[in-house]
Amino acid sequence: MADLKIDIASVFSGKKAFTDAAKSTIGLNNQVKTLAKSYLGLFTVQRLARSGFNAAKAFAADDKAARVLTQSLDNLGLAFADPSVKNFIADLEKQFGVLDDQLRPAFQRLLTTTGDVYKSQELLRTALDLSAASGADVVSVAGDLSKAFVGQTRSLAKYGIGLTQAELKAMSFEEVQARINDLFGGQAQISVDSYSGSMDRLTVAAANAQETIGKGLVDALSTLGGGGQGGLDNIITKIDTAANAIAALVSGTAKAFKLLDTVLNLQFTRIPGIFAKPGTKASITPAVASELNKAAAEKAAKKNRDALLKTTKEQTKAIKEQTALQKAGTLFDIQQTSIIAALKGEVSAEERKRLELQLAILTGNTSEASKLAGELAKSQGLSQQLAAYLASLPDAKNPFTAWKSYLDMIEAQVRRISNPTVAPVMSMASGYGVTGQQYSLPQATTMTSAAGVDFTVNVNAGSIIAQESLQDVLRDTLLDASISAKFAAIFRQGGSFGA
Amino acid sequence: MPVELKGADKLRKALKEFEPDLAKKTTKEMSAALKPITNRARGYMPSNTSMLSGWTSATSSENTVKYRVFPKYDQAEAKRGVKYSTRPSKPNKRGFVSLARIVNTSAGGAIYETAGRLNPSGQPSQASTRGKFSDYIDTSNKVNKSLNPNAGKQFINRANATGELVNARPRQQGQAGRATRKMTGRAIFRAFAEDQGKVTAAVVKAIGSSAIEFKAKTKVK
Repeated sequence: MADLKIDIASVFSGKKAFTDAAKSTIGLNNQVKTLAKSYLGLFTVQRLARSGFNAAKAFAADDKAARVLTQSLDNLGLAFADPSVKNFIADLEKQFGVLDDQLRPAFQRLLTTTGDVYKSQELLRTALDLSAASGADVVSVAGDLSKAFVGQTRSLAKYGIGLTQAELKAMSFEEVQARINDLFGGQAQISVDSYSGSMDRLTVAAANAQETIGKGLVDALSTLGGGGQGGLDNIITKIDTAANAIAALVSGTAKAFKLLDTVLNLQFTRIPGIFAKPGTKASITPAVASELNKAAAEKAAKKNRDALLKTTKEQTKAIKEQTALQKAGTLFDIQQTSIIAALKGEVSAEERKRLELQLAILTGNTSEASKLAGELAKSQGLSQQLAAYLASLPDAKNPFTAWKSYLDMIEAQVRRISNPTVAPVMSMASGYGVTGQQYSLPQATTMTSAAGVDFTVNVNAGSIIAQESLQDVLRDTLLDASISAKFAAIFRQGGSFGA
Repeated sequence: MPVELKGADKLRKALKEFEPDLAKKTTKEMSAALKPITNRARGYMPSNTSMLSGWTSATSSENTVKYRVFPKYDQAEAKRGVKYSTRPSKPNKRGFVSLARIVNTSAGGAIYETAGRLNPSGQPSQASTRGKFSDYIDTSNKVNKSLNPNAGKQFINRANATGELVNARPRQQGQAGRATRKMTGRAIFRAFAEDQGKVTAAVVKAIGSSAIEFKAKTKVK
């Protein structure tokens, strides 16, 4: 079917054409290689190239280690010591037959831990002795020493220095180092003086020679690649393929090698996309490309800064935590002891819970701590509720309030008994009794009224001897009352109260 | 020929990587330019009843024959097949990548789009290819094998009745080379021709403005 589409905008990628060209070139290259191998006997050349390649690799590794150490010194503000450190390592290498490939990392570990060049040199010598005595490589020993320097002495026990873990912990690092020096001092020198040490020194010399050759080769490659860092980068990234070209350069006396150089080196460099960078036809405009590069570089720099900041924060956090732990450790025993002592005493239930909670927090028993905290909070809550309830209660009544009336009543009874009053005459109006002078009779006198009603009159009128006397008294009293306008008489006469 | 924008693919990749918001904005602007023309092209798809009935209804033997039958036309399907895309395509055999395009993907819609583009009066009948002095008969797909010798013509006439073929890129006066009929059609090409290049300008402008904006945003101060 026809491709029914309208392309509004398009761009030439050219990718396919370049890919095809690259494939064709690689195919041709392989064929040329095979041809060259077959007809020119390249096996010997390849071996030379391989050894040259190894030499270049050894030099590159050595150079990298040296640069890393230099950078470490620079970061620690000890850049001034770089030449002396290099000399120190070179001397050690020659003296003890230990490759600088090992000495540099070992020294770097010590340096980053101690931050002191002199101390690191001293420790490296100790590490060499310990390494010679124990058989462990110097990098591992230096790592263990650097750990011990910051207090992690556990790893030193394996070297058999005759100290228990407790002793190691109790001793300062200087004491431990002195002990190691006492036990193993001079072991490195003795080792060098042995046959094995001599062999090591020979190995070192050979390795150094390899590195020197490698340096020469790398320089040559750099020159071939156009000179400078860019030329070297081009060659290093394709070093495996370029090994053949190196071989041709090294053995450039033979015509066959010259031919090989032509085939393998010059022709390759003419192929874009393999040795040289691809053309910029399909790339974006230079202005945009440069902006992109700048943005990418800025992004990478920001990433590095962030990573560094993150590392610093983590280290600060770790130091803080360690300090807090140390501080807590000193408090732990005292507090725990006091809490246990308090728990053994007589304390209330709530106080006991508080103490148990404190103990759980100290011992890091989180589950128990949370449980106790909950109970304590609950207990506190209940106490508060009870206090509130009591506060809201009304005032309690005085239970003796009623006693007063009761006692008054008793008093009245007693008074009544002790001072008996004249009982009202039932036939008379209620409330009317004999007033005035009181007469008392020895006994109650029962009398009968005119209407035939019997009544008893108790008169406290002193001593009355005869009935007539009583009648006189009554009469006089009644007359006196009438004359005095007592209300009893008025009532009887007027039926109302008068003044 | 589409407008070639050098570095536009790299720009879009860079936008996606460094300024995703701007990339989305660019896509949105391009879509806004492409959408009206796509809608117009969809509107040019005729109804089923206006086409020949035999082309719109299924035949009884459709499910039993071993070959692929001639595709039917369905207006809804044809409309759905008219789309636009702002996603960069794979490079074609000449290495060009399409950044924005309008497509007609349905089979029936494509037939309606292009019917009569090559043979305005329909393909010649197979019988007409018979030699005067031989029994040779053309069996290729270049001839009309129908028993109706005018089948092709009738088909195209009906299509033309609903919409004329429009060449979106007519041969200009003094233009070198052969004229192309690849840009002739009844739906998307017609809509594109009627647009008179406005959509192209809008898409180019969207990409160009995003390039300027991107450059300003990523400028290291």
